[in-house]
Amino acid sequence: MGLIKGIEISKVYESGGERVAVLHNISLTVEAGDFMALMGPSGSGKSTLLTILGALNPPTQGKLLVDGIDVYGLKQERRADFRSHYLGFVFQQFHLIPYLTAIENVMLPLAILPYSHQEQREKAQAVLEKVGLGSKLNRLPNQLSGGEQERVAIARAIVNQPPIILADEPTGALDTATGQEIMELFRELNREGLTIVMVTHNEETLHYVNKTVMIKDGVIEKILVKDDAP
Amino acid sequence: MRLLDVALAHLKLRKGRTAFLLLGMVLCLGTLVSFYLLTHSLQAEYHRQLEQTGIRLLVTPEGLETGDSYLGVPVGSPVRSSQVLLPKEYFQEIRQLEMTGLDLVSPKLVLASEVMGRQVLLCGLDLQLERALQDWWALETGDFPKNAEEVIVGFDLAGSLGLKPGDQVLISGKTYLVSGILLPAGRGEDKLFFKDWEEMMSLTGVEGISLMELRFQVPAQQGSEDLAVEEWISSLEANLTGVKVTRVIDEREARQELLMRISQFAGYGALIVFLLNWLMIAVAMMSSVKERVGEIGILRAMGYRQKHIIKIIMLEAGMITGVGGILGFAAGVFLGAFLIHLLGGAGMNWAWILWLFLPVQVLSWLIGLTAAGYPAYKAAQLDPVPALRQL
Repeated sequence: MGLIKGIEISKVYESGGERVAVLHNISLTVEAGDFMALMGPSGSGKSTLLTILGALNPPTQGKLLVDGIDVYGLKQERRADFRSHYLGFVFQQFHLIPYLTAIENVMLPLAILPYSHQEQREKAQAVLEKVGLGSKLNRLPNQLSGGEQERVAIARAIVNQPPIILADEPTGALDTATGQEIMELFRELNREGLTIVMVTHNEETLHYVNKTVMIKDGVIEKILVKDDAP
Repeated sequence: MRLLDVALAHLKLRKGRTAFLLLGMVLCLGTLVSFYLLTHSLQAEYHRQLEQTGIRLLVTPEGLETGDSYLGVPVGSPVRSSQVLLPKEYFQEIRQLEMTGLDLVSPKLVLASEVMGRQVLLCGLDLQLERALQDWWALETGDFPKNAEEVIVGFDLAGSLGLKPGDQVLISGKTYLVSGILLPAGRGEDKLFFKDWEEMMSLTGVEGISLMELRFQVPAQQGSEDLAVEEWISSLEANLTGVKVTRVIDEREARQELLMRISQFAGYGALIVFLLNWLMIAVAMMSSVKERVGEIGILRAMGYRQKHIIKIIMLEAGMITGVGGILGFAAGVFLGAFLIHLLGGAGMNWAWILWLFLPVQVLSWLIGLTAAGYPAYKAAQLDPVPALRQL
């Protein structure tokens, strides 16, 4: 049984009285420890699928089980608790809070958990050191480079030690060299046991993953599995 | 990191807006507090003066013609033979009515007479009673009369007739000694002769009362004066036929009333400032929510519950209104002290100030809670997916 199991997931949006089907009966299993890429052309439905896997966007039909939990069977606020404990998000444009320092941004997910300020600080500092930003704890986002901001975003996603990271085009706003550094960091986290699901357009990033799900027109076109991802 | 730190950091980011909202709170609460203190002070001063002077009623004959006046009250036309007077027995009858709080009755008879070739007004009264009533009466020169053979003269009249203490004056065929000249009052009594009421009746043969001034003690229960006055007037008009009873509003009371009206008006102004301030905070918080849609989406993705989002927005508003409450209160106390000094109130009472502190802080928090309530609710209701798309 997979860590994440999507069963016949469909998503239909209504816009101006018109129904637009974005996903059609998608069934998908992500095993614990997978590093999976969701790939496809723009408008294929991969980002929508990521938000559904992220417990943010209820599917029109189908079911999402994570660690045996029927995620969309939970009430809205319980789903927020679920996200807090199971998921870490990394967004394409980093999405750091501009008026908080790097360490404060990383402490944000801990602010709603029962940790003391000292514990929060220690945890945040530890993950920032892990992503190589131990010397820039008190910098504001606009005082950091794009790669550094992405590292802060990754630190923020892993600080409460969720088993799953969901990343939406994490290298999309970075140059090639920085993108590779970030992918190395993801690979290291994956090797430590984190399950990662990543939306990407960049074929170079496929080098780091063990599963690639190709999506086209809202359906899974094919799934590529590598037994020995480097 | 606490939610309070997130709210505080956002306020620091928007320093200009935070300062603007704080200024609004200081203006709003400062105005409310200062005018509350001013009104209280003016009321206390009014009561102090009222207790000193008592409540006064004038009893005059009903259906007076327009004519001369005494202390601004019409007393008919003393130069006409048809002058309406009250029976002199009313002086005794009023005192026998046993009205609660009545402590002084002063009758006056105003008649016209020729003195030193000039037509002047004579006012017969009981000088002892009248001096107790008109506590501001003072002499420019001389002494108050020691007996019925002596008179005092109003300042203007003494000047125009060239009279001074020690002069003798012939009134209705009898010679009187001028014992003193009154200080100018800027009113009708500056142009009068004052002599003993009984003596005047026996001299002129005219018996009666042009008007009677009654002084009552202020009721112990504050705010019950108007009711008491209504009762006294009804009782007098029911027991004495052909009288009209009116309340005397002297200059001090009139000034006090004017100030009370001004402060009441200012109170309405403060209410408008209050509503504008409420609106200002509500609009600022709503715009803050709109500009932070993406940020709220991130927090929701991290697992923040709706209550956490509400708490952050409310904490921001709470910090502005909490600090604004304290600063506004302090500004109100200083402004109030200045206005009381300027308008002659009873001075600041620390008991009022301490009593006022808690309600002002509660009011301040209420402004924050109610103004930020709807924006906070809207923020919590945001769907994280479209919110994240806005980033």
